Amino acid sequence: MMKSKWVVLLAALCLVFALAVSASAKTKLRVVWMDYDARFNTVYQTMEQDFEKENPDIDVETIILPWNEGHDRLVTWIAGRQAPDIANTGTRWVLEFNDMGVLEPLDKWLSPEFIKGFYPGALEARIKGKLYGLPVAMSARTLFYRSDLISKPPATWSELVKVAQDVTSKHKIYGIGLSGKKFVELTEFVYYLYGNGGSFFEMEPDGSYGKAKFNDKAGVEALQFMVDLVHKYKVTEPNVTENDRGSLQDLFIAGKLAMVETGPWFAAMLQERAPNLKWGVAPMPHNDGKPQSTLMVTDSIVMFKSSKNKEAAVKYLNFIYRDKYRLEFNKAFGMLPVRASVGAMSYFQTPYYKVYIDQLPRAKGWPLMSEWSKVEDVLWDAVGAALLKIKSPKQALDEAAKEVDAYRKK
Amino acid sequence: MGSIRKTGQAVAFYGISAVSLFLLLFPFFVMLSTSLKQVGEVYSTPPTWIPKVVYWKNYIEIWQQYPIGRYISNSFFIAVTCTILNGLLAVPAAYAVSRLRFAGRKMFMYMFLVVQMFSPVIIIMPLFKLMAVWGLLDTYQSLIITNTVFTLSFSIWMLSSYFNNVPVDIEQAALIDGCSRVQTITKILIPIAAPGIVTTAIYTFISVWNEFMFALTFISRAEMRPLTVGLYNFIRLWTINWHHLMTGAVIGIVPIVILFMIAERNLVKGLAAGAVKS
Amino acid sequence: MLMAPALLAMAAIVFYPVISTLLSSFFEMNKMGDWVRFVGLGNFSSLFADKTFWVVLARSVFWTVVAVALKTLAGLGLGILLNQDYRGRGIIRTLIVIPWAAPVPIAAMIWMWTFNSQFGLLNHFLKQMGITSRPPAWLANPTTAFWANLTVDVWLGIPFMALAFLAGLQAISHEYYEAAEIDGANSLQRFSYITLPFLRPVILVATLLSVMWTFNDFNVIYIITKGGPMNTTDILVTYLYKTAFLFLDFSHASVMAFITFIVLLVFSLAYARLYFKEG
Repeated sequence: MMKSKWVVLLAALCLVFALAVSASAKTKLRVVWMDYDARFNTVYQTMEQDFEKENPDIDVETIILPWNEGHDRLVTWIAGRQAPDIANTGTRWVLEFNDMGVLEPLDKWLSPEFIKGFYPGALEARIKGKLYGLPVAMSARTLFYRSDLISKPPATWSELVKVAQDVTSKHKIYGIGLSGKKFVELTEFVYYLYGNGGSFFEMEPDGSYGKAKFNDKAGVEALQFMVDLVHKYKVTEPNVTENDRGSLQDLFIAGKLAMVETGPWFAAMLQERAPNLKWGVAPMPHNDGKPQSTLMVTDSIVMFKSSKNKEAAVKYLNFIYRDKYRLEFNKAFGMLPVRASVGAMSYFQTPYYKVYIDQLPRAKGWPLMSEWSKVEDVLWDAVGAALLKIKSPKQALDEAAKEVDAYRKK
Repeated sequence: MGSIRKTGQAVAFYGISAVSLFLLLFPFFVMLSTSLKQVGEVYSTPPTWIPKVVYWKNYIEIWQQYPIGRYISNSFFIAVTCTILNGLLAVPAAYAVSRLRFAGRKMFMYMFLVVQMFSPVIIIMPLFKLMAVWGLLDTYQSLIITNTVFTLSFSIWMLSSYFNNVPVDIEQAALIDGCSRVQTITKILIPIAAPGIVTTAIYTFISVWNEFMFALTFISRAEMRPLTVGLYNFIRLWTINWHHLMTGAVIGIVPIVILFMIAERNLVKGLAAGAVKS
Repeated sequence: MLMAPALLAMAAIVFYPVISTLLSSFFEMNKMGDWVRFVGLGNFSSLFADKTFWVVLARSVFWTVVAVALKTLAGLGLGILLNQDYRGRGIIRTLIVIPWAAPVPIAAMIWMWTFNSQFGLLNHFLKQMGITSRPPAWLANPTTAFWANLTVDVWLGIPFMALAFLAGLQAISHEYYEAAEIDGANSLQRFSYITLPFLRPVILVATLLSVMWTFNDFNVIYIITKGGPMNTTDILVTYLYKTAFLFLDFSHASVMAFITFIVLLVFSLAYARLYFKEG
């Protein structure tokens, strides 16, 4: 009697395990995409289905991760030796993953003509001459403004203050959004740093990154300006450290913000969620007397060394870069084209896209270093401390620079 | 005099009850109210207590746009299986601890406590590797096994104290009458300790239903996600669909609340009989 | 024999990861989380040199002490209330345990929205009731964000406490109270000479568990503030997560796990001594 109970139990457990090992004969391809999420869409599913139709021997499993979980999931999978075959990542993670030694160089798998089809500026993920990631999404950041409240968008910081003050007093609406809550990227400090001619690190002659530079005059001025927007001019929402970029966009959609600095995906969101709002885009404002600049970001798709199906993976890569799917992707998420043939399409020949494309030559990317996660975290804390007036901008950035330099020396 | 005192007392009871209910249920009110708002009203200032336009469509939209039914059935399947397995494993073990003079109760209590000292976040990496080696990633089994085991020590500890409360004499009488050990467990111990078993089962069910970190780590395919992770994914990079999130939360919380309503009396009795008289 | 399956399962699923994590703190690890070489206490000494670690550890202790104290007091009060005989207490009892029924991540998200300084109903309520005309942006400032997180943690923990205490109270026989009343004991005396001594084991167990859950409460803080603004709401477990998954520094993360374990172990041993002395 007692034995029979155990037999049942064991049988149940065996069944549970047996179910796990049922396998199929097809070549399996695990592909991770990030959820760009501008609206509910089926781009990834369409690509999967069309690809499987063309390649009936390959079974694609598309995993869609939300961005704020993406990094941690991928790290877990890599460390657990469960990396997918292909993954969509932030280009700044490519360095980190490459440091872990898990990425496959792509040059030998892809034809030179195919690689030539990308805009050279978009091919950021080249490390020591080897290409480790293909750009999938590119964005330049711009200023979104309410065109019904602002007739001429500001080009410089002093205009920005004036316009923001104007609109704040006239319309009882916050002038410009500023976010101080930790987020996957260090907005908006980077916009003001680049808009003031600053940069994060010294460049060594060999092209590698030297000491921290974000605490120089340009950096301190940038952060001081952010602090002033909040405390001196009082043109931002009052609770800046509560908001991340997402909440700012929500505020703009809700009609509480007159200006917000963000990327092209926001247009797709606005069309869907606030079709009646009147808005326009303008180049990112810069400090008076400094050249205009903005942040350009690419996300990259990488292939993992551990992939057992590299041929199939390469097939998939070639497939998804067909103009048709690229256009569909860009349309769905509002991203900028990364391939010349796509950029030439009539869809992108509009005044709206011109604002972005015109900015690209002066735009700068994130520093590409494997320690960036830590640097970004330290800087977030510095920005937060300054915005909360716990430290002066100079003190906050000096301390951050010290910490970053010490960390990178290790 | 007595009746005045009584009325005064009653007023105090209801007053305090009302205040505590208000404090404890405030967020649920927010949830319910937001779940019935249109996007525009979600972002209105000042916020509204009750939606100006009650928008039931959120509940339809959420079913159409997200596999919420699938999430619920995943959660349900996992939680039920874990509860059953947990019972099957814990009852004999608790019996051994309580009856066979095995000095194990203390040990299980310590084991249980040791497990509590490690937040799932801390041991998630080795566990993930373990699941990978066993080929269980992206399966229900991974969650069933982990959750069962993680709730086990508590169950054994709880159950053994219920069993302690069942007089040994009854059992010995049965043994003399020719019952086997297993029969004494199934025929005598289990019926008598039923409230305790139900309490333990409910506790297990709720722990599993609410589990988050294991599911987040072991499951990558959307259709395998339990409700907690499914809803968490409503937080997106660029926006949070608050109205949908709240709608999903209502849907996720209702089954548990119903379960509580059914089992609440038992739960308190069970706790009283078990944990207290140890 | 009866316990073999339970023990085996626990050995594999619980003790393997636990021991592997504890051992890891003595190894230098690469970014993949593999052991590179044995470094003895090297990881410990470098972690101890990190000022943030000490701040976070102190905050974790403070967080735990305050939160558990509040949960216990509120739980005790509610338990006593629900132990009274009055109409409708059944339904109230059910309603009060609902916070326990809500999945923690979801509850945390609901709170996050409630705390929102622009659209959240909490500040709206404070304004409407005339409590303050300028309520703080709770999650925007270090101090208020800490207390906001703490509120959520306490809120989540009250139902368990209340239920446990209620169960304990119901186990106390009425005869004791009746006898005490005849002897002329007032309610305060009855409480401190009958209720408290009888509840003692429940209080010990419930607070011990609560200390562990609270010390390790990851979900609330991770979801509501991610440890921000700056690092001001990080407790050890969220800092550990960041160290491991953001900075890929698995060695120091393991050391923090080790220290969490030691802190809780020492605490619970001391506590268990109290418990078993009684029992």
